Amino acid sequence: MSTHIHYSAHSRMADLLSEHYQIFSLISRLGIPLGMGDRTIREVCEGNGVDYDTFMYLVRFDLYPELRETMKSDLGRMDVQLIIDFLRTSHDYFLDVRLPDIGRALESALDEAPHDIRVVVKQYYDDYSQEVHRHMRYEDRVVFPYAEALLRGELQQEDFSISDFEKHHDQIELKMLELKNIFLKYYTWDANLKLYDVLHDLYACGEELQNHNDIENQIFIPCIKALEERPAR
Amino acid sequence: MRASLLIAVTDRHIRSSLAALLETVREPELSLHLLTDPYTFVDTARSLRPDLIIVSADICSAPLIDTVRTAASLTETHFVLYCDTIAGELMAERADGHISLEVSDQEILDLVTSLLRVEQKREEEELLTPREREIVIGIVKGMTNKEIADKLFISPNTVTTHRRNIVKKLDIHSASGLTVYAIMNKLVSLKDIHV
Repeated sequence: MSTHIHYSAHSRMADLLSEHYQIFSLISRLGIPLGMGDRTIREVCEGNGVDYDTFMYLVRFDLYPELRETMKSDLGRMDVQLIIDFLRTSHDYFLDVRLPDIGRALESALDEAPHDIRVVVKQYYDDYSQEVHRHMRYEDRVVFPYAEALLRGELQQEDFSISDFEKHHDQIELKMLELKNIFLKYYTWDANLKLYDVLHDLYACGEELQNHNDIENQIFIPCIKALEERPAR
Repeated sequence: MRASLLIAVTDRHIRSSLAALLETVREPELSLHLLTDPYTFVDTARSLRPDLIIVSADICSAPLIDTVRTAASLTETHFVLYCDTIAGELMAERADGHISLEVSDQEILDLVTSLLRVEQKREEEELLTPREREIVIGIVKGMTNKEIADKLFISPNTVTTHRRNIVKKLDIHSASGLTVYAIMNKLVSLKDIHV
């Protein structure tokens, strides 16, 4: 049996984080520092310039995927700029920290594996990292500036719309999970403990990327669509 | 491999007689779970991840199956509905199967074992045929469909069909993933591929 605890503005931020460690990635990317003492969720948010409603939306989105459908009606209350900043910081985290870390750990875990396996796995991972890089930097350079211009109420060029982006928005986590599956099913050499750690990371990072993509698809894109439909000022 | 089965039927007598019947199944070996509190259905299904669920329509009606599937992350689970009304049976057409009081014991056993056998068959089918292996080798060497077809004296369409089956069997979708697979299974060596 699992129970949904409904956090409110007056719940302590530290309680939320103690019970759900996955929220750490959220507060780190929103620029909320540690050392929050006994302050409530609302106090911590306001003290750090983070919109409370948007924060709670992201928390619920993360903790209770089964409620996502019913939450849609609250999308109108979102601080879209905050979402964009959050997504940008997430991109930096994946590209500058998470992916290179896993790449290094993978190489070191395969230290004693046959040479040819090391070569093709490294190639696979490097190609994949490049793909994620292209995917995320495209969003940083093209999609987010477009959304920010819409937010400022500026007229947009006709040749780009968020629906075009939506159509081409790949599930970037798939190849990460694919690599994990290949190891799981076809790696028949001795695996050292480091390799198990890396597989765990591939799994976890695959889920993080999937969650990131879900935020883009189910929060960011609908918000921008609503802005596009708003009559020009 | 043991298959797990959850019986979530409200009526206590029907639940236990289904359990008694299914306990006689030897192939595949079953581990049976009986749900007594209908209110815990989704949570129980989520934590058990059974291969098959027999659920009565008052706990989960046919139109709700997909929702439960999503909510409880049960992509592979088969749903068999236990129906006690004709209307329920009509609705149940879109479940993986449905049973009722009218259905004989033998029919229930056949339904359950056939649904679970598909599962086992799927695992056996994962081995590539010799022809499929040749095609994997072609792909990781960087050959086009046309080149592979010419080399093996088959049509490019056949190559496409083989490729689709390979993807399905291995669950590997990218050429670079196939390369790792091919090296791990010694189908090619490094000098065969352009790294």
